[in-house]
Amino acid sequence: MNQLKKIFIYLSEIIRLPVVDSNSKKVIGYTADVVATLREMYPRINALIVRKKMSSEKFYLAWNSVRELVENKAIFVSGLPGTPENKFSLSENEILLRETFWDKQIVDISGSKVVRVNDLHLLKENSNLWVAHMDVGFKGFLRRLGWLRLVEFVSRWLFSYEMKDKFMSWKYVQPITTSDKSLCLKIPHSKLAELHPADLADILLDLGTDERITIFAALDDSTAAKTFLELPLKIRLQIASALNHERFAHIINEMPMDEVTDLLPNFPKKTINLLFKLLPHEKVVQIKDLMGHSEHVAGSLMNIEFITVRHNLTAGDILNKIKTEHRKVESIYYLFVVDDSDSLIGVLTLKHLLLADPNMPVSQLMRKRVVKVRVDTDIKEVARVFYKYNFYIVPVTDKQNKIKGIITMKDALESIFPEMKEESEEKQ
Amino acid sequence: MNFRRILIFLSVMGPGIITANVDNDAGGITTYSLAGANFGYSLLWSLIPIMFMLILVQEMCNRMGVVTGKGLSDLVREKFGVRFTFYLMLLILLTNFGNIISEFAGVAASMEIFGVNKNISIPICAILVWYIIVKGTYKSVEKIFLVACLFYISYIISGFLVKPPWQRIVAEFVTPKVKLTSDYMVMFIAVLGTTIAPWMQFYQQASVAEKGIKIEDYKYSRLDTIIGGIGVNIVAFFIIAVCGTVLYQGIGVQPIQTASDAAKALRPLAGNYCSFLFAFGLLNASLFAASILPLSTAYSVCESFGWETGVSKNFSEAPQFYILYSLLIITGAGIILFPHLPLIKIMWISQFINGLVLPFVLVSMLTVINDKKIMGSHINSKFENILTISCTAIISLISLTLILTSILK
Repeated sequence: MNQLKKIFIYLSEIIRLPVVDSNSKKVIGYTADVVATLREMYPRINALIVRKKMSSEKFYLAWNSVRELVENKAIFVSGLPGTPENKFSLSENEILLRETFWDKQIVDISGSKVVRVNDLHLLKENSNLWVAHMDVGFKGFLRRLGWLRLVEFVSRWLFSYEMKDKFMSWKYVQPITTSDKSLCLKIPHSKLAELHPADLADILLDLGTDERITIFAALDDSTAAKTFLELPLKIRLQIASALNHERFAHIINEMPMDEVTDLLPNFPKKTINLLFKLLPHEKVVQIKDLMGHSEHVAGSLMNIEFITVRHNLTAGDILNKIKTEHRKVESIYYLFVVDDSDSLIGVLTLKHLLLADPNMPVSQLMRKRVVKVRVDTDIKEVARVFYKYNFYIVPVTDKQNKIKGIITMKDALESIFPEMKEESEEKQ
Repeated sequence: MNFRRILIFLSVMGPGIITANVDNDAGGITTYSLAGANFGYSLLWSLIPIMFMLILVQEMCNRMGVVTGKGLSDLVREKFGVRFTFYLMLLILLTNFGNIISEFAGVAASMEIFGVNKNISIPICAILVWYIIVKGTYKSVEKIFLVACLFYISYIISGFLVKPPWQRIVAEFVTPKVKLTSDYMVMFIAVLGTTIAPWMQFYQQASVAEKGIKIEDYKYSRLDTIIGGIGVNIVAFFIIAVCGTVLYQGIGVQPIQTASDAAKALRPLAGNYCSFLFAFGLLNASLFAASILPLSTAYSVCESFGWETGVSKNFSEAPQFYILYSLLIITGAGIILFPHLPLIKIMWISQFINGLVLPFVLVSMLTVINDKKIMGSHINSKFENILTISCTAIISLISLTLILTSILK
């Protein structure tokens, strides 16, 4: 007979149930919340928080004193009285299910969006209860209101439509926590690392300020930098002013130079100076150099992280160089060849390199006619160069033909159509 | 440095001013016109305490929006659970729907003064409203709304056109003659009820949250709210002054029931210009409110039910939001096209629910704003609590009286 018993129950079927002493059969209180432990893969129900009858006093009752659970009827317990509220504190990995999840927002990792929890779906296995799913669907919403049966009946009878549950497996649940610092430690935001920075940015936009900053601060520097760049300017500024300067300097350190120079002028002078003190010296020099260019010339668009190679190296040498340097640069597809006096004398694509004999010297592989722009070239002219030659990247040189940086097609496009950038930011 | 401050203010400005101005919608203008036509200048004084209360209430939403970055319905759901929120939202949906109908009625009536049949004006305006919101971005929509706020100047111009006796107005404004008759009290309650409406709290908080205002810039955002509150009452002042000057002959002598009646009644007495300015002001106000109310309603309802919201999402991402938004406009506008509609009765019911919901909204706001977990160091100070709690008590009492009087009528 036991096999036929329903094995899933909802949190809403436990909350506010009368708690009955199994000896005296007297109602002693009502369930106010349910405690779960996070020690295992799925949270296991560990205790009940019971509100005493006719009072606001609460006490903690370990799950092993529960004798029988009859959904929608009552919970029969022994081992009374439990620990009074002022005498217990939740242990390190215990959380309150109702307070943490009911009506709260969580991140759905598989769908990469923010959803609101209507109910919790619990798996009953012998005497144990486990949190299996979050109910985020309309059915859960109706169940909480107490209208589910009526609406289900009407929809079946009138439209012969069977309403479907919308569950989210615990595996994909990332709870969002803020003010309660202890909760933050119990529930790390580790699952978010699986998401693409662009999705993460969308999620951050859907959250409240506090949650946004907590989650952003929990990301590692490199993910934080990538996510930051996907956010609209106003949110960037909001986050920047909420983080401490050291942390923000670390994140800036991970961003491409041209983005940093776009961003910094939005801050007060004091903040910029503080950040300069915290960043590595050579970065600061480069940033200052870039910020010196008028915003109408190529110099303001360029990115100074790129790979240059000496003309006397071989194709094999360069492949090794790429392997060690690729992390720092925006693109490894174009490689710029310089002579002993650092003048730009040729360009090489990754394709050339991969197809060439490893012992071939670069000077024989490279194309000598390089399309380039000068640091003081007008940005309209830069765009024209991209349009004419169909390149993805164009190098920028100074008067002495020394290479100073590169411009990507995306940066050039954004400089000509600033409204495009704004719009795409707003659409997020 | 000053220039920088002005720039920050301009970037933060919007939600407060817009919300307050939408408040002067078809219903609001009607009430103020009636106050002027039936009681002359004797209700002008009431605008001062009303302004004070309006700013106090809106400031709280504003603060919650800036601090939490969440809408009011979000916070209510998280704090009070699903049941309370659901029934509150149901009532808000109803009262807002009543308001939406009255906005479209305002559009129809004012366009008729300009000689446009409602069968033409209503469908065009409904499509226009729908299109602007669905196809526009938040920024562009806000710009359109801010321009619409400027058009309220038409009421101020008409205020100068009728050359009111300023000395008498000032005298009655400063030393009011409060009459303790029931008609007078009912009018006073109606003026207050139309100025502080539940949708305003939801709308302002949602748009502040959407704007992503930094907490350091909060003082500018508060200034935005204060300017809005003062501006809306200046417009109300002029409406009452114009109607008090031209139409006031004693209670019930002018057979005025709506704002467009007032505009029509002004024509023989104050000339075509004044009448057209009044009609234009009504058109602007109704259109403005007709675009914001359905939006605000769809936002708060979907938000609290946990459905995707926002005009930046497309239909397949946020179907419930778009369906609700479109339905509100289509049915709201469609109802107006029916002949012999009991408009006054609809207004009456909507005002009734308004009065019923407002105390609940205010009390839940007070609970949330005093919650340290949500507001951190930005909870109400003791002084603010004394002010806001007594305000809430007064407004609730008045709303209750409004309900009682409308039942007894």
